[in-house]
Amino acid sequence: MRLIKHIGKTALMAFLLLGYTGCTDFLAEQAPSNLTPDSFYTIPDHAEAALASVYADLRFMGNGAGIFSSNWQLLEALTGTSTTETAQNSDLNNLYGLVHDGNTIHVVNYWNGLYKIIAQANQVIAKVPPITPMPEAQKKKILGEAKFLRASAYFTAVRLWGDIPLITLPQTASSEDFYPKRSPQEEVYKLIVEDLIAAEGAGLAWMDVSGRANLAAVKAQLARVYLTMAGFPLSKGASHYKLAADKALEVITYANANPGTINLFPTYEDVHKESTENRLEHLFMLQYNTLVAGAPMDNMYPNFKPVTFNGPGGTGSTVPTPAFYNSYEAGDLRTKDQDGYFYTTYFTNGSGARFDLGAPYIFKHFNRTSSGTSGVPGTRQNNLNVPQIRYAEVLLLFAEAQNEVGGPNQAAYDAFKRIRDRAQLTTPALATYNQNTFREAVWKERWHELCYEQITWFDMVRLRKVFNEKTRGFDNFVGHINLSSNQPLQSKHLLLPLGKQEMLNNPNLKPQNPGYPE
Amino acid sequence: MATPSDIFNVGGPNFTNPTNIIRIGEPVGSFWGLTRLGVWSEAEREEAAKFTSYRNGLTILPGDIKYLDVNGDKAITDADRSIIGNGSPKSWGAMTNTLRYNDFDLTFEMQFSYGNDVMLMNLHPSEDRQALANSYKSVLNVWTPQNQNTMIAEIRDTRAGYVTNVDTQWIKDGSFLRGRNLLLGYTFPSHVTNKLKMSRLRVYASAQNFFLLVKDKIVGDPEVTPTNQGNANSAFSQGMIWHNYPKPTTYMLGLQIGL
Repeated sequence: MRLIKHIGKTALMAFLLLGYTGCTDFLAEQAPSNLTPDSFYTIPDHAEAALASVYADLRFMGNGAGIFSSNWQLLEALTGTSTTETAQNSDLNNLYGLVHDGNTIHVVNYWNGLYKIIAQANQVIAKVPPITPMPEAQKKKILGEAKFLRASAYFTAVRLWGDIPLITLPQTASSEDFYPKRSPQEEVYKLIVEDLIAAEGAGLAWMDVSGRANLAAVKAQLARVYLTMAGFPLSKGASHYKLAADKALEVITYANANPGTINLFPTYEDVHKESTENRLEHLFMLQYNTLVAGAPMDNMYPNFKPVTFNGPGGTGSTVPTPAFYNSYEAGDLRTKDQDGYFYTTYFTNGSGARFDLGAPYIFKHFNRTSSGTSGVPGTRQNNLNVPQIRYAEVLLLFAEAQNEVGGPNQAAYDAFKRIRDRAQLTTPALATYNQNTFREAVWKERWHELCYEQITWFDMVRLRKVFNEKTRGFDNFVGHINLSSNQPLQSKHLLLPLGKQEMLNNPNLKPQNPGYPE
Repeated sequence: MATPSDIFNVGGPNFTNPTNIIRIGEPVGSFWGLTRLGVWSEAEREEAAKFTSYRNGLTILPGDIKYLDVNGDKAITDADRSIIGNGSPKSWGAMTNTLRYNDFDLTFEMQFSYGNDVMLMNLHPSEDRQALANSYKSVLNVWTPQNQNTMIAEIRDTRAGYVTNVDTQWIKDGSFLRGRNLLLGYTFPSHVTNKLKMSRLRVYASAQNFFLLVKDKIVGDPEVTPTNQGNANSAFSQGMIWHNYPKPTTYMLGLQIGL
């Protein structure tokens, strides 16, 4: 009897305690340490952290692609301007030999790397706007930077593969476009332009020595996009050459008014120095510091020659072809040992006796500070950034686009001449050029000024022209012989194959780009 | 030759090119590579020069590795790769037995695996790039004009463009018989233990991994766990040896006392 009374009391108590509040609230779990995309973005610091992760992912291009190779070699090996002193990596060999396919690891890694940037940027763009309270200016800037980075990733991807999935929202397994189809390039470019215009209006400073996206970089990137849209494959022609020229001129006008902020470096040494990073000519760079990640261009070192503190250790898997080195005009400062973009001698183990390298190697990404230089031992910490957009390119871009709009004028000529002046070359007078000769002169300057910066391949694809190192003229893309491998470029090479695994995982990506095995 | 439904790059380090393939109708993780016929000889100099390989058009010379040109196009490319082995055994097992004689006991445990290949990727640094890395002593048998009948390329300058590929030279018969444990014990008779005021006293000695018989010469251990490089370890990289540490042989002496 007492027991029954007891049960009754307990039941009543339970009802009183739980009946009103209900079980759900009581049992709802708070897991403050369990971060999910839905719960994470609550304060401005989270927005900064999310953006930082996008920047970090840009460095995928420096990651390894098997033995003796890095991902960025995708964009050098295909150009024919460089070759290898080793044959240890068959994927890289396939790129040099123009027989790459959807299993080539560099191709796969670029796809994955670019779409990771896009995915991370999509998170920022979707999740940062609701964060409150957050200063509007900071929010706008973060969104602007994220859009610049997303546009840049799409810009690389669309030039490599053509029609590609256009993903603009964070994805989950239940997303409608979890197996996305390929969107027409036109739509991809539309997003790229929209994103860059949004970034342009995001209140970014003209330059930012911290290495974050800035107004100059956004405008230069937009000019690049317009120039590319003017050429192949969209072939928008005059309207977009005009847009490109105008946008580049905005940067040039600012630079002319603020020569201490944006300018060409006085020496080529400054192009690859730790102390000039994110300054003056370097409008945008990939940031490297050994605390996070060391500089990724080591595969440009000669094969087992002691050019750094580290002794004989380089791979030589990206070295200039002799033909490309010899295609510069006589007296071009850029070819001068250690003063230009090449070196033919260096100091034993970085700082010892000078020795002859026996061939020209790429000096453009060489870090004297970390490797050592004559009599000065290296710091052993290679923190050298990788240039993404240099002011030199903006000048050449303007010269090219302006010439297409209405032939060579004084402004186009001046921009072009500045590049040649720095190389200590004499430039024929403006009147000696017509539209055709000026066009090819600017292209040639692009090949020589922007070599080994992962730019040349995109020039080849948008122009469908390739610099012929022997004639110093331009060949049509199809049929041009890459002197690195003596293989001819074919029309299928205008696009990369889609990665094999990606095609298997997502049947909606079919068909494979023309000319490549399914 | 690859077909559309083939899957590559799953498992394995893939540091030179895809090491294995998943193909309908074939065992999972079959090894994928070129077939090494030997090394081009002086007598074949002209024939060799007609070939191209993974080396940016460098002329193939006597002393270069000679691969099987599967499709006959005189270009050694990925199209000449095929299934060259498989890391799964046809049968495997172990047996253990204990024999007793008077106060002695003898336990032995044996393990075998039959019909599995191993991919000896150690041969990439240790045979295929003599001037770049330390080599196995097998490179004493490299190609020279006086020693042309060999599987190992001529030693050249580091810039000669050493080719290294997953190929049949790396594939070895991984069948093995291992003596996993041998244990000999002696239990003292009760009149001894009684005197010592113990209930039980036994001494024993054992040798673990006391022998290993392998069909092909393999540096390391044929019983490898899937390698964890590249795309992380997975069943698809079964049988790949990539500098795995071999199993040690362990000797033990023991004393068992029951109070």
